[in-house]
Amino acid sequence: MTSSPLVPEISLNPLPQSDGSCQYTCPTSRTTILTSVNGPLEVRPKDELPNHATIEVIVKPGIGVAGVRETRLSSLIHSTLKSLILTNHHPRTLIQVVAQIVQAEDHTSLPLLLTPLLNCTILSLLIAGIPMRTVGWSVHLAVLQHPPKTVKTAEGQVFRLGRGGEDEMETEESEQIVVRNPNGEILGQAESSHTVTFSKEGEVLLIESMECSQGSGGQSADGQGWDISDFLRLAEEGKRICCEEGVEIIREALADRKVF
Amino acid sequence: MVSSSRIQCKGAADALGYCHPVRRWWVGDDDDDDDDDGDGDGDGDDEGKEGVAVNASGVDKSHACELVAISPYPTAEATWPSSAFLLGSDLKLKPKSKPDVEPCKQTTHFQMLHFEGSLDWVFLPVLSTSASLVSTKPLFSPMSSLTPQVDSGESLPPPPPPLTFSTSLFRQISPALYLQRHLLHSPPTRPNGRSPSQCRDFTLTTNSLSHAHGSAVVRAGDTAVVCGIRGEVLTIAPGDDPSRFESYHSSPTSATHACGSRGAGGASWGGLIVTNVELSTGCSKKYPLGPPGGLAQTLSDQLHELVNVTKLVSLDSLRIYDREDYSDVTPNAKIKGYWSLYIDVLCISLDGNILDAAWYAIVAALKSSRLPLASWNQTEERVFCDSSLYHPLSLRRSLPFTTTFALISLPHSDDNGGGTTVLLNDPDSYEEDEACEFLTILSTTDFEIVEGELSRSPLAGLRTRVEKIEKRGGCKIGLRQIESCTHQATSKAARYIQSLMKEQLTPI
Repeated sequence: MTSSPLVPEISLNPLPQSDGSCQYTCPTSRTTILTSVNGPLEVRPKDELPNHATIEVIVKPGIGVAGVRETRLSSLIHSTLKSLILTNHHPRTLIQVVAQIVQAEDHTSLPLLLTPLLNCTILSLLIAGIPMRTVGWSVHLAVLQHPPKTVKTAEGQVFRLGRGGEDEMETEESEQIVVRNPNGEILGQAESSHTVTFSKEGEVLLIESMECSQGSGGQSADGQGWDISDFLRLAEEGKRICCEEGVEIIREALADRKVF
Repeated sequence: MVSSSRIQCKGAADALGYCHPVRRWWVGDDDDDDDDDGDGDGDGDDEGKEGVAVNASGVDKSHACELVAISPYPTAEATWPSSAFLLGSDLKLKPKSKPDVEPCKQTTHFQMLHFEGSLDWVFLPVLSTSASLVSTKPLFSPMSSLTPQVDSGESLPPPPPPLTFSTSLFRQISPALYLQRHLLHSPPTRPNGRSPSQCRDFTLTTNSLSHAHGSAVVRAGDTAVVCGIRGEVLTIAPGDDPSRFESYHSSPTSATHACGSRGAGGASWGGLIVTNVELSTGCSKKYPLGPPGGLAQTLSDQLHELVNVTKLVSLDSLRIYDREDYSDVTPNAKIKGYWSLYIDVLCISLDGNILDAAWYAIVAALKSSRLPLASWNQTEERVFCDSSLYHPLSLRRSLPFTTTFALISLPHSDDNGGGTTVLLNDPDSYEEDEACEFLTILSTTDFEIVEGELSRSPLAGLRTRVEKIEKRGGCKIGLRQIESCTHQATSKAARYIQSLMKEQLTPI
């Protein structure tokens, strides 16, 4: 089990009128998401699928009106849910997921929002009793190359990637640390950000990883990025976190619900 | 196990309304059938729950089913197993026998819908009884084990001939099967004639728009996009802090700033470059005229993110200084404004994989852009642009390119229990419709350029840096496959660079 500072605050069914709802607060960045799931509902004839349920994901922003970023977030969640929900169990119906960003450090940052949104959505789908093939869990990993001393992290939040056999890079690589679920301050200093989502069985559901170092572009940006083998080791670590700790978090959160 | 409540039987009229015009198999059962279709439909719902094959009248007297299937290959008969398990991984047809069968008189053809991975079986009658389909020809051999073993009688109708379709019709009515059959061949070939790892040929034309500061037209297969870049002068008001434009990805200091930046039409941190994608140009019948839909919005955001992730444009080259003479930049020259770049991508024709085409068009258009020399005029207190002098944008030396893959899962082969998957490089829209899993890799590779040509050194030895990976939908891709995809991305980047050099836009 994880150390306590890394366990998100989960409150189930805060919205009693919906079929299933969940409020999720990321322990480090304090990003708070509230999701509600309703379904199976009647579907608009335009969206009706003959043999599958239609999944609709609406992401509501914390401030302002929804823009392209929210559309993108909902399309990412939609494509993930499509491989999780057994849509053929309720053909010609609608499963509606509404996610409201309650609180966020940066309302425009995709990596900071995606992990809480996905985890919260999956929890509320479980509460709503929507038949799912498996469950998934998402974790956000930030890679810091030269970690400044000022970064405040919780215990167990930081780890290093072990390198197998490649000694010549040892001194350089030892300065690279990985921070789980970083907050906005840490992400601002990070070299790259990786949001990985794995199912309970270890299948890759979603990968959204990008270079995010600061800079003024042009020639100075040459040579940025990472080697694919570094990414694979990071993804393996993410898989371990999702499959072991993530599933444990879901299990504990739903302990008395008997749905998992 | 087929759950009984999942089996449905609909009338012929309903069927045409309900069914997707794809994924069809034709099933004929040698049973009698009263011609009263409308009457029988109601019964069909009840009877259909018992068995698998249900005839139009709904009275389940089918003791055997005959599957007449279509294959893109002339030798398809040989690939059909002679049992009742036919056509792909999880399509199973179980003839149900009933002892009290009336002699068959007419033939009904059923359309059977089956969706992969589901437990659902839907049988829909498509053709009502039709004498023209009845013929005395024997069924071809793989089907013979499925022909009904009815006692000889004069009322037994001759078995229907196999329904055959042209390849183009098969392509329309059963895209998933059509694609699978192609990919199961050895060597695997896609319906468009490419191998799975082969991308489409593309052409590039730059600076064809006279009013834009830079433009590019990219055509890859039947996907064609136009990218135009227009610079606008953004004057820094006195007291405004210009530092927020000096870095990509610099985080806002408070939520109120973030709110303000949203309202300011995209001029946010590192937001001097604004991207927009227009799909409502009649490029595809899926995207009608109107406000931008989900895909167009997602693409706009993705491309903006790509600009930010790659830090393609040097923000230094977008500064407008307070100086009279362009030759030298004094270190204490004051920044009076910025060039804001509006990148508009119009899709002319959409045949899949628009992200790669759009990103390549953006890179080429930025590479060919020429901005007028601008400077701050003290007396007028405005920014003035020179009418004849232009300067290029300074970009990165190693240009990043995206490569998109679509994953198609193949039915279970005989040897191993699990189904295999095929990653298709540069999918077209026909393949995109069938794939549920997509992988986009943004990578840069430092190529050696010798005498204006890419050096012929093996690509495997080159160092490829990945800057962005996006994998969405589905669950079948493995981490090892992602690694092999980066190698394919490298070879695609080499082709991109070559085509850029042809347009006299050398990467250096």
